[in-house]
Amino acid sequence: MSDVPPAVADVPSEESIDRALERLEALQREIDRRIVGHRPVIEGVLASLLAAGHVLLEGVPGLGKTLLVKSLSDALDLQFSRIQFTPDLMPADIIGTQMVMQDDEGGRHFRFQPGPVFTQLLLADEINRATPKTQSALLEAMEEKRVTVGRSGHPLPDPFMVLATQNPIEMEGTYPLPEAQLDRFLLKLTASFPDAGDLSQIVDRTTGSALPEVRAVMGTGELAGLRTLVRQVVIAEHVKSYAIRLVLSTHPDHPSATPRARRYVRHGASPRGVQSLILAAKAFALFAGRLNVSFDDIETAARPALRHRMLLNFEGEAEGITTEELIDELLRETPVVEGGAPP
Amino acid sequence: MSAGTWTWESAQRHGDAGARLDGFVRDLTRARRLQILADLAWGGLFFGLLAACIPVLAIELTGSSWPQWPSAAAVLALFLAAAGLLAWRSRPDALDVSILADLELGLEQRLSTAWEFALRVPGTPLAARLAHQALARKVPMTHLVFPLRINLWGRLAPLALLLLGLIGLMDLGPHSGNPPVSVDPVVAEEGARIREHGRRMEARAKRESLPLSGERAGDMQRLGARMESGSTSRNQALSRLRELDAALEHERRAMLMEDLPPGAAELPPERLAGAPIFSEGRLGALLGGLRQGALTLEELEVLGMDATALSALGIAPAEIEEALARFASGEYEALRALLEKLSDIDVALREAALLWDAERAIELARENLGETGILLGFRGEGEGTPAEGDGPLALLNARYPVRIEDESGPFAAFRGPGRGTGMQTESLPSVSPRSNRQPEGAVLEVKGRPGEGEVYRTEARVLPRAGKASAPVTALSPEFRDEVEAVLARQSYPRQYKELVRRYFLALSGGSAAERAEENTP
Repeated sequence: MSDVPPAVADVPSEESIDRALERLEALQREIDRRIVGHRPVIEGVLASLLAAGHVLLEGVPGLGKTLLVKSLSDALDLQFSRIQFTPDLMPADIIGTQMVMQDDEGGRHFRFQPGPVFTQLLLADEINRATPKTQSALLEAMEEKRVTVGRSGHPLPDPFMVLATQNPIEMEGTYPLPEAQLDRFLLKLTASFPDAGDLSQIVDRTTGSALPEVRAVMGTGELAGLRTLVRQVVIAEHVKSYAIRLVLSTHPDHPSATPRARRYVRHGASPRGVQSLILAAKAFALFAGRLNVSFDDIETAARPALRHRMLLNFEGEAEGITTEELIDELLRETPVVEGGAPP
Repeated sequence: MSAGTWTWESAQRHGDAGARLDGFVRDLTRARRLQILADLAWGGLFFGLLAACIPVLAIELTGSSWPQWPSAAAVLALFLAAAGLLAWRSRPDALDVSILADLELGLEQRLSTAWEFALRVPGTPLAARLAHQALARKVPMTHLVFPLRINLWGRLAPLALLLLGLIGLMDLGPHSGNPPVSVDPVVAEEGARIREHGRRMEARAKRESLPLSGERAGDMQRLGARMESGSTSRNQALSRLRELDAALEHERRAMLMEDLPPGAAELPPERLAGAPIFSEGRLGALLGGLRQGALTLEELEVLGMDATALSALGIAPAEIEEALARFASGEYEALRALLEKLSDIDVALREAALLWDAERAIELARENLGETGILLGFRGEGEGTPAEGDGPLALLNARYPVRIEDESGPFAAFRGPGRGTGMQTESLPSVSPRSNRQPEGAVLEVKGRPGEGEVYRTEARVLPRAGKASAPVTALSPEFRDEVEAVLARQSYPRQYKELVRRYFLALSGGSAAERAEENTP
């Protein structure tokens, strides 16, 4: 209760929030023209977009992950690049390289040739097929929004968002993402198999004469305004305390950790985890037209924000434990108010 | 970002929202406080009623002239006052109340966030905006958010009141105690008889060092005392007498079967005890003479005379002849063993006789208590009333005139020094009493000192076979499993090989963990 929050100066009006909701609904409508179902995944991607984070999409082939990213880029009117990650992909293939150029006078000099990372929306398809060296080429780009080649740094366009996909089934010839790389994704979303109704709609849309067109409904300026709005959503101390206690409970050596977390977790979520959790919760609060974060927002954001930040130990992996079930257990056992319900 | 697209709030627009929020939260806090007071009051009522039962019960039981209901009322008032005090001290915090109201009303933390920011940054547009957001939704009246309710203690209070009423109305005073127990005179009389028999039996068993009879005599005395006190009904007494009777018979038969040859236990006691060797003092005199070295062959003629009777006790005539022949040639060990065996048989017969006599007394008591169909073992021809001197004990007593009061007898020599007319036992090892009997058969002892004699020793060296371990494979301790898990958890290697490595190491610890892992593997 000490510091005055920065949001005090500029408080969004009800009209601003209504307008933001209207734009988000329009964006969602356009995506829905191509994508059937996957509501939680779409909401997660939009939350990451508004929270200026990156997304790791996991799902078996054919679920429409790539199409979702492509549709999002079409609806956003942003520059879009796609990199198909393969084992022989090199870092220079992503970030670019210095090339020797000859000018009109015959002189030669080095000139930086930007790679496909210089875009606003980057689809890193099947990211776990590239070697760790190549995967690490994205570290600086994702965190610093710039790349360094030689001695010179090159800023990336704003906004910059990476949407990476990976297949959880095929492990042959893949390289699991390093923990540092995983931590840089705001959310990890899992695409599930559609039900019969959704499958029927998918067949209708994709086996006709042409795919539905997606119009660009949001530009860079509007996206920046929405990102500012998300940051202005406030969070009360007791809600923040709940988020912090949740993240602390993921650490096996913390007193509030559950017995199963103590047994199966090697490392809990990093401080970046709690940042991601609260940022995503703020985005979810804005989707609900609220100016404050609720316990429900924290719980909605907990799974995608923490599932890739908890590292299981050997016993946990061998026994087939998933971080999702551990997070669900934490959500069940962590009281929303510290020390239980107030008297 | 253009100001035309996104607009910002002014503090004046929601200026009154802050005041309304303040009033709403204060009302909520008051309602919550009343709710806590009511909850604690129910608790005070419930526990007060329970506690009021204690003085009412005490007054009822002791018959005290202290007024019951004023005491109960005083205890109840004390508990209610304590509940009120507790409620006064547990005044809820407004922020806690707003958090609780958020949860109760599903306001998604709008109210608590607004209240928190109203405290942190009062009068700012943000606080006003949040207050406006919190109060924009229709919320119920504050007393409906925290209603006065009947909690669990309140629902249990009628039961406590009912309990208090029952205790107060029931007559539990000392004057209304249990009616005196009516004593069955026949049971008491038979109890006295049994107890007296047990006392006499115990005295004799103690005198003659008969431990089993002494123990059973104690049982008889206890049962007799209980019957005599009137705490046992006739049926209970009969049931316990039957149990004791069966136990005595079982032990008597077991004892005879242990010391006598098969079938001898079924023979009439008078036939078993009929050998002249068991007649008064003869066996003791023979052993005494043997110890003093003053025994003559003439004195041992009685053994030859008893050959027929002793054969029924498992002692073959040839054994007697051999012992006598060896004694004649100066070797008396065989004769001593024979006489000690006879002494053991004598003790067994005495125990059996006492137990049989006890059975007789119990059967008599059962018959006197009305049980029919008992075939009294002591009844001889035409005898209708048991008397001292009947049965095998009498027959034994005829042979060995040992009265219960008598301290002498043919086996006094075996009772140890200081009792009866005991003899010194330095020259021969004493005959052990039944309770300390040595195991039968030859005793094997290692003779000589360590290091004496010839020692046989063999040394062999065997080379291990090729490809085989020379040390046997042994199961590792369960702690190894934990160590394996800890080490594997620290290592980094390809994920797809983890299960393989884990199974290999856990298989070394006995396989249980590996089996479990296999079960879990889809």
